[in-house]
Amino acid sequence: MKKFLIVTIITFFIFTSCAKKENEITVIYFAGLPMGQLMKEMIPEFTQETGIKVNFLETPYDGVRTKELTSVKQNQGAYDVMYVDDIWMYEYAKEGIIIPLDQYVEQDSAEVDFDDFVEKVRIAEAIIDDTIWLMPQRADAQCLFYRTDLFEDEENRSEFLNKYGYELKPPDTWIEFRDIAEFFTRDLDDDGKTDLYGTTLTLKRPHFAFEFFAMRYWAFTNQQFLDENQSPIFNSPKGQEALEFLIGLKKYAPLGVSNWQHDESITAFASGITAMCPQWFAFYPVFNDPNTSNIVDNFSVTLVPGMNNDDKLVRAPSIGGGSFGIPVDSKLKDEAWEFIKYMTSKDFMKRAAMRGAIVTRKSSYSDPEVLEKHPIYSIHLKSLEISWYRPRLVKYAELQEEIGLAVSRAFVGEMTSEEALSIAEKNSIEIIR
Amino acid sequence: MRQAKNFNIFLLPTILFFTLFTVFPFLYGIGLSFTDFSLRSEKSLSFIGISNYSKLLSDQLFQIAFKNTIIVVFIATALEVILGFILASILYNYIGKLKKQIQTLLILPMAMAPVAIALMWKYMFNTTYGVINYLIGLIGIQSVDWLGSSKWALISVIIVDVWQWTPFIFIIILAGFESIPHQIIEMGMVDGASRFQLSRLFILPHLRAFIIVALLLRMIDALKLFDKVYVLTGGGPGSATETLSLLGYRLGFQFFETGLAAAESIILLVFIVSLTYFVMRMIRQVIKKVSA
Repeated sequence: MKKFLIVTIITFFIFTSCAKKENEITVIYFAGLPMGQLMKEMIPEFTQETGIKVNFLETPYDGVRTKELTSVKQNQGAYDVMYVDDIWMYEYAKEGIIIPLDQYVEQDSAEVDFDDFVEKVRIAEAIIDDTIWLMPQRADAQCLFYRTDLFEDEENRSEFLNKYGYELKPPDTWIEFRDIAEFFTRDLDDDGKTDLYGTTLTLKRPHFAFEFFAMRYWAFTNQQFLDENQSPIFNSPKGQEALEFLIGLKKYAPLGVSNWQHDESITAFASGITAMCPQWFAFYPVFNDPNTSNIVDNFSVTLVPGMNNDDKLVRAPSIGGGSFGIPVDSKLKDEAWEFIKYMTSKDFMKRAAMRGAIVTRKSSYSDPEVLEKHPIYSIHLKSLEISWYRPRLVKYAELQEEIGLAVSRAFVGEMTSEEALSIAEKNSIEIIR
Repeated sequence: MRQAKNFNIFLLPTILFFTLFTVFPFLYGIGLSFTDFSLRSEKSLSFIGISNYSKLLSDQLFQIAFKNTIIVVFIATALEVILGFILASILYNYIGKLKKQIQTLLILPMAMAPVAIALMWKYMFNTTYGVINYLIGLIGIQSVDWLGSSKWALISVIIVDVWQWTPFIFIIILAGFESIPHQIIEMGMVDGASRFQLSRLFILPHLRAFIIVALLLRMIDALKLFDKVYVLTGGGPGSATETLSLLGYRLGFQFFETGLAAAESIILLVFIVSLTYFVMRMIRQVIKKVSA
């Protein structure tokens, strides 16, 4: 009898601790983001002001979408606030995973000031067909990090001018980028081994391969991967040219780049073995920290190069970020909205920006205190303003997989660019149908 | 009679558990594999016959994954059995004081989390900073693109698998060695049998069952190879390390094509069962010949 009672009591406590507490919202967020740390610090303030408790769950990126979709599709109601990558937004909106937020935005329009979000960020991370689905919190764009000591060295400048016929400076075009990458790939100590490489490349399947091909593809073609009818158009002569161009950069990059993720490429640049590093701006703090970088005083950042298309220079950094949404099965939607409003507010954004996080509001980027502490933010804002968003498709994951696979296959010589893109095109048509 | 009835009652929880968590999901999975069910789609599932199976079997990436999986299974398992046997034989014949300690060290890789192992090896294989390229550089060998080249990526996956699971084979075969009755060996030696004759006539036949069990368990596990490939290469570069389990994961958990993923799992299951049967038959014939 005694044992039975103990078991019953323990079981009771287990189940009651698992049950959702009243007036407590559950938020799922990407693990490892600096903004996550700030949010955890601000949650007690939020709870004090609103009386709403928060169960804050940080989850590794790879598992977030599976958990979110499973929760809604299985009607589990596990989350009240979801953090949504911009590439999932279309799927979530069209598949009825999240609710539109127009009503909420309108009712709190003065406080929210939706127009304060950078325009490209609003388009890429919040709005589909004039409906607001998400509230943007984090917005990153690709940029080009480069070694100022190498670029400003007089000997390098003179040699480059002699060889290529123009001044050595951060490249405006991908062709200049290739020249510079070639120029800086060298054996510094005459031991027969290359010690300095022109550039990093980040091409692990599938999404690294896709996003770092995309920045070149968009610049070369000045068009999206799909047309307005969602038909694949990437297997074009210019699309193949963009892929061939990427493959041609292999000889100016360290060995192994076909399997590199972000950590390998930022380590390579931070340790000083490459002259340039096309990457997301969010990695700026890594390069600027003496604990993680050998090049702290010897690098800068600029816009990604572009290509001349119809006499216009088309630079095409990809935009990527995270926004908050409310799942359809949440039972605390109003409370969820209060949390979202708080964590995307001007105050939150400024605090985040002061810490070096990549924010979404124009007011943060133009704040004098922020600009004084992080003058480099002006480059990031420019990148955001010219950025391109990735294809809008419910089956974006499948499309990314196909194109990423094609890029990877062509890059390692498993097949030609034409063959790889043709297979990807054929499979994409099947996927989209 | 009453004892038999009581016995059956005590078996009931196990049968219930087995039915709920093994039999039912298995049958449900078979059923799903004949439908177009997608966790992402709003429409209810429809029966589509063998469409999922024909789609997979005719898919180029599936065929590559199938081929890669077989290569990894056969080569990795063979190496593990050979190395495991050699290690077990050496340790069995070792008469020093550190036998237990050496045994413990040898089985450590098996005790580590697969993802941790994959991450560790990923950094070891790093072309610029990895310790492996550093060491081979000391003896004049050029750096190898372990994970970034089509030629070496699958070999790298096999190396990691062999490193992790050779201890498993080793521990089973060592148990086999330690179960050999000493009297039989002594009798053979008294009769003038050489070491080779002792191995062929007494030791190998005795170890037969242990080797078969170790081999089969490893093969079944190796066919489900996922974690190392996911972390090390993601199936790349290109499709060099694409495996059936990775493909199934992508279909089920990234694309949410549950019907297709179920079909993929059933194909893998049929393959595992068939391969197990044929390999068992083959091994028994070989060991019969050796013992004759």
